[in-house]
Amino acid sequence: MVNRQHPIKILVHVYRSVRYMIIPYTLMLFNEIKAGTGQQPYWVYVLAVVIGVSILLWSMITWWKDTYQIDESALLIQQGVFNTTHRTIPLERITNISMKATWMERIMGATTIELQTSDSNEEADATFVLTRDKADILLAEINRSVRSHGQAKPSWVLQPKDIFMRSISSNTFWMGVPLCLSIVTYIWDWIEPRSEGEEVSLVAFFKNEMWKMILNIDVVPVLLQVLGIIALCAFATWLFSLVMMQIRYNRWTVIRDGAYLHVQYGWQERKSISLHVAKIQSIRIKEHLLSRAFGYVSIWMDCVGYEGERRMKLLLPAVHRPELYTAMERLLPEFTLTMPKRNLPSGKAMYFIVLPLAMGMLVIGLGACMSIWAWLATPLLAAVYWSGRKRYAGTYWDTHGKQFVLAKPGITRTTIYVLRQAIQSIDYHQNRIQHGCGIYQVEIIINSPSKAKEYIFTGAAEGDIAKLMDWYKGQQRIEHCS
Amino acid sequence: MSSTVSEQQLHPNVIPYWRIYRFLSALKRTALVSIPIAIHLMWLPQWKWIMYAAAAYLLFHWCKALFYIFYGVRFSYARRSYVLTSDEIIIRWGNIWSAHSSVIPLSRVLHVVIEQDVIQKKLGISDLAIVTAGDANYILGLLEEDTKKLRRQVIELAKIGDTGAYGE
Repeated sequence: MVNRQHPIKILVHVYRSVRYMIIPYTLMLFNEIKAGTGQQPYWVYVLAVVIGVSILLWSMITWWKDTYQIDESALLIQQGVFNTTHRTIPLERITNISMKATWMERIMGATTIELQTSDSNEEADATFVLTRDKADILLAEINRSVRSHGQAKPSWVLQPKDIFMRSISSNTFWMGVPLCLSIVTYIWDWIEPRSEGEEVSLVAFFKNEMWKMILNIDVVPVLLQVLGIIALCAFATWLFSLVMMQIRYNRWTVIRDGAYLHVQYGWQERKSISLHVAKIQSIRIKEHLLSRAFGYVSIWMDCVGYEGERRMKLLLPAVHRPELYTAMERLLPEFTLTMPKRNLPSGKAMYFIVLPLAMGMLVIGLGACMSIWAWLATPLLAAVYWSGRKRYAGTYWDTHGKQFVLAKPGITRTTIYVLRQAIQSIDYHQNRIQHGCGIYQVEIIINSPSKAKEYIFTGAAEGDIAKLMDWYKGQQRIEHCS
Repeated sequence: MSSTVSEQQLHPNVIPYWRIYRFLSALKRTALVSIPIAIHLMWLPQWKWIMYAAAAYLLFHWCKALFYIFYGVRFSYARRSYVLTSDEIIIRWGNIWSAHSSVIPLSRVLHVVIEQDVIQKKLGISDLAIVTAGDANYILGLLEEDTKKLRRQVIELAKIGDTGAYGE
């Protein structure tokens, strides 16, 4: 039987076709109303109607021609109006399924389903916007009824407090600061309107008179005031992000069901993801700066064929450290959480501490030759020393059975656990300074990692490389450091 | 058990190839930098800093390119090699500043690609890209026949280990 997607897809198609025209058309309309003319030549209206009707008709034809069928073993997809594409996806090859419903889709009784089969984290192999009944039928045919897991016993459910612990360490709120600053500027302008002739353009900003005026007044109080306003805006957006994360991660539930892992979350847009456990290559335990102080960590993963929301591949946004092992045993017993014991070789502090310090001193010294103010940067050397010391003393790696473990310090402390069968290759390199210090940089290559730098560490000695290679080649000769 | 084969160097024809390639890259960069210089000369003669910045940029890159063409290319050649065993391929590369190694189990190889541009065709050499799910590693500058032979070897050996890396 030939199936079609939900008619809401016509609206989505229309929206996608006109979305880049919305802002210029709105501005044009606004200017037209403001100018008070309201009259255009007839051909403008005719052209607008022709374009609108064409887009609507094309969207309807595209929707009509996009069909799918399910038989016992495969999903048959047909797409295209003039150039028709027929795709056959074997049902057993579908590894990951994502479901989401925006508020508009919820009102219209629709659900978006993304199916992934590929061995890369590219976009979904097939995306359908279906009625809820058709979505249920499709999932039942694939034997992956995600919806039914809504009634199944969840393996792990996050409480609002857990989500709060994740949100306090959110670093995405910085993106809202420019918007907040703009709003503050407009409010300020409304409270204290500027004089008629005053310009607010970018050109006026760079006019020499303005800078002369600033340099004539007391710079320090002005600078402090500007910094204060920026800090207040950052704080306001941070508070806003706390609320937004509660909405986005509302009722975060993870269900382990045999070979599959189901993750469901969201209030305004409820999402449901179904992953094949065999495709999970690694997990990453992250200890964020603020939530670490309260004993919370977040669990991330790299799973083949799963792109994640905004490239974030979260398993659990926050879990209290004492409950971490229980959570992992329930959700992913394939991974064993052990702390790595092998630290960087002794006597190599020079590379991590002395060299950056020497470089910093050189830069400050050269700067001081040009301006005496460069000496003010001297306290930064303490930060360089502290960072290098933490990096050297806090990096640990190890191998445990069939998994490689790497713990790296930083503002966010990260520990990764990679399965050996997921490692595509191992790269190691050495520059002349590293050669002088007798250390290497090692990179573990996996399929489409979300953050490749988390799989890189510097400071391995030649013996460490040999042991790592032995382990990778399956010759279990590695010994744990005492 | 892997039977080790001796380290294979690239064909010496790769040295003139790298020299020509680097020279052409420098010319391309010069052409690009000539755009702001032309803007300065034609429309903005008072903005002298454009000329100074462009000249500094070109001087730096031409010094780097000439250093590589006359001296650094030997390091690149000396540090590039590969070792093919029955279960893995090790590719080494580097330059005057650093040395890299990549260890790829043959069972992880998805496909191999032969690539050749016009200059390589003239010099009778080609590249072999070994593609895994994580990355693509290149063996540059082999004679065309050697590239084809190596491709055949990799494909045949990769079939043996299709149960998992290193016979997992």
